Amino acid sequence: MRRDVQLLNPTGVALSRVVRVAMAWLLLGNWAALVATAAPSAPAAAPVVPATPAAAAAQRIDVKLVGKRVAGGSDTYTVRQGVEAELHITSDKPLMLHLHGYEVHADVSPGKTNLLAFKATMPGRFPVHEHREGAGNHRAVFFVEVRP
Amino acid sequence: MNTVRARATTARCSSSKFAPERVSATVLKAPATRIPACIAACVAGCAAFAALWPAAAQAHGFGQRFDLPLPLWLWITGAGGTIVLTFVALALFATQRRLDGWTTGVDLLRTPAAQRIAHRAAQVLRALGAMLFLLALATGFFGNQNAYANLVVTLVWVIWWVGMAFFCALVGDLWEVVDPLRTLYLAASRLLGRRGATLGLRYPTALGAWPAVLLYFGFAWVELVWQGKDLPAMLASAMLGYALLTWAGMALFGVEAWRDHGDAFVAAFRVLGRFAPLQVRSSAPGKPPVLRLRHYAAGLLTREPLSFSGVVFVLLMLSTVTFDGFHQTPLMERIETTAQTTRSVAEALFMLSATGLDETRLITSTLLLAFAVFFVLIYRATVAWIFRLGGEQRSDAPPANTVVLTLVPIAVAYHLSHYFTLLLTTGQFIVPLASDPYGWGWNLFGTRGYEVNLAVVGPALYWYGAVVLIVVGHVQAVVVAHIDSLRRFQDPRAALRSQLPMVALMVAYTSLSLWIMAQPIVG
Repeated sequence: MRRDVQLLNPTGVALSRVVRVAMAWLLLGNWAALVATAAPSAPAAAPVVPATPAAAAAQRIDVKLVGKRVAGGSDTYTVRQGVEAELHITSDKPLMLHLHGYEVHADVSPGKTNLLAFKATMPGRFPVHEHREGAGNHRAVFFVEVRP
Repeated sequence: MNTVRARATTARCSSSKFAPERVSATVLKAPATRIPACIAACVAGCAAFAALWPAAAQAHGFGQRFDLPLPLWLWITGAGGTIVLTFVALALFATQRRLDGWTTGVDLLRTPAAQRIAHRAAQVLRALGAMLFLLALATGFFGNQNAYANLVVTLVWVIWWVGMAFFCALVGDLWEVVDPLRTLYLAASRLLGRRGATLGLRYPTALGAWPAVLLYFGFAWVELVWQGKDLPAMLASAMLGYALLTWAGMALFGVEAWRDHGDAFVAAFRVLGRFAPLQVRSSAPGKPPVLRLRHYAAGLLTREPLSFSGVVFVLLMLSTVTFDGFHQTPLMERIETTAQTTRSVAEALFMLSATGLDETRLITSTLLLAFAVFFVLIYRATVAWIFRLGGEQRSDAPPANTVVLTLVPIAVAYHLSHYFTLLLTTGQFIVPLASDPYGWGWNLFGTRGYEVNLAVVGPALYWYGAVVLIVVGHVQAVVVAHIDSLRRFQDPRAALRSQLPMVALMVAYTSLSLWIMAQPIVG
C-alpha cells in the first residue's frame, strides 16, 4: 500500500487541501455561472410561427403537406406550452393524422384546410403519424414541439 | 428507448375507434401465421377482445419518448464542462490518496446472523424472480395481444431491461441473485432427483465468452430491429427460446460454466454491477456468497483476467446503447435516405429484402454491426497507443484487457440519462398492469384504472438530469482510468502520459453521447 500512496503523487505537485478545494470550486463555480447566465436560445431549425394577435392564448400554425411530407423547410413546428394550438393543414393527398402523446386525430382531405387543434399542456416533442394505410411501421409526417 | 415503439403504435391503433375492423384483422393475421394453432386461437380471441375493449384506445404512446432535444447552449456547456472537469479530476487525483479503501470494501456477510438474513432474502427474491418469469411467459402466450394491455411487454422492456440495468449499475448486481433461468433449472433438476444435473462436458476454453457475445448481439437486434418485440406472443416465444438455449447450455457444461461464458444477460448485468457499490455473488459449488460494500466503480479496477471475447462483449454493450440513441437521430434518417437513393446500394438492399427484412431494417441491422466493429477497432488502436506510451509494466499490473472497463462509467451514465424518462413515464404502465396482467379486465389490486401521467418528467428535469449524469459519469471514468494507469505502469510519469489517449477517447465518447441527446428524436 505504501507504494501505491507514493505512486499516486507522481508529479510531485504538492497542492494543499485548501488550494485543491478552492481550485475545484473556482472551476465548478465558473461552470455553474455559465449555466445560469446563458440564455436559452430559440431553436434554430424550427420555423418561427406567429401567434394570432386576437387571442394571445391561441397559436395558429399553417402546415402545407405535399406527398405526405412537409412542403419545404423543417418538419418540426414549435408551440408554447399552455396555448391553444391550431394546426391548419392542407394536403394534396387524403390523410388520417394522429398526434401521439396528445392522442388527437384529424381527418385531412385535399382541397380544403383541415384543423388539428389541441391545448398544449404537456411539454415535449410529439410525432404526427399517418394512419390511413393501416397502422404499420409508419414514419412521422411532421413533429410538434411544445416548449416550456 | 424505441423498443416498443413501432409495434406498440400498431397495437394501440388496433383498438382505436378509427378503423377497428381493418386493423384488428392485421393483428389477428400477423401472429397466427407464425405460432402454433392453439396459441393462435387464443390470440384470435384476445385480439377480438382487444378490439372491443375501449380503455386501450386511451393509452398513450407506449414506449414512445417525447423528450425535447437538449438546447444548444446546454449541449455546449455540457461538453465544455466535460473537458474542464477532466482536468480538475486529473489535478485532484494526481495527489496522495489511499487506494485500499477503493478496492477492498467492507464485507457485509461477516456475522452468521447477516448470512442467515441474506440467505433468506435471496431465497425470497429468487422465488419471486422465477414466478415473474413464468407469469410473463403465461401472459405473453395466453393474454391480450395488445402491447398496452399485456404485462409481458412493459415488464420485459421497461421494468426488467431498463429497471434491472439501473439497479445493477447503481446498487448491485441483483440479476446474480434472482436469475430465474438458473432457479428454474436447479428446481427442475432437484425434482428429477439430480441436483445441478449436467452432462459434465468441459466447456471449451477456446470459445471464451463468444457465445455470450453472439447472444447479446442477437438480443440487441431483437431490441432495435425485430418487429415482433412488442407482440406479446412473439416476445414470449423469444424468451422461451432463449431459456431453452440457456438450459441446454447448462445441461451440457454445467450451470455456472454456462452462466460465465454463454449467458448474455448474466454477463451484461455483471459488467454493470462492477460499477455498483454492492459487490454481489451468489454462492456456487465451492464458492461462498459475496456481499461487499465498496466505493462506486471500484469493481472496474479488477485484477481478474478478462478474455478478448470479454472485451468485445463490453464494447458491444457500449456500442448498442449508443446506437439505440443514434438511430433515432435525423443523421440516421439521412443515412437511410442516402442508402435508398444510391442505385447500387438500393439494388443490393432490394435483393436482400427477399430474406424477409425490409430495407430500413436491413440498414439498421448493418449499422448496428458496423457500430460494434467500429468501437472495437477504435478501442484496439487506443489501447495499443496507451501501452506504447506507458512503457514497462509493473510486475503486479492488472491484466491488459481490463483497460476496457474504465469506459463503463460513461456507458452507465449514458444509459441512465437516455432511459430515466422512459422508466418514469412508460414504467407507470406497470401499475395498472399489476392488477390486470393478462389484459382480461381483472382488477387484482384495485389499480387497473390508474392513469399514466406522461408529463411527470418536464424538459428541465430531463435536460439538466441528462447533462449532469453524463458529465459525472465522465469524471468517474477519468478517475478510474487514472488509478488504473498508476497500477499498471512502472514509471509514474509515463503512466500519466499513457492516460492521454484514453482521456481523448473518453472525451469523444462523452461528446457523442451529449450530441445524441441534443438531436431531435425522429422515426
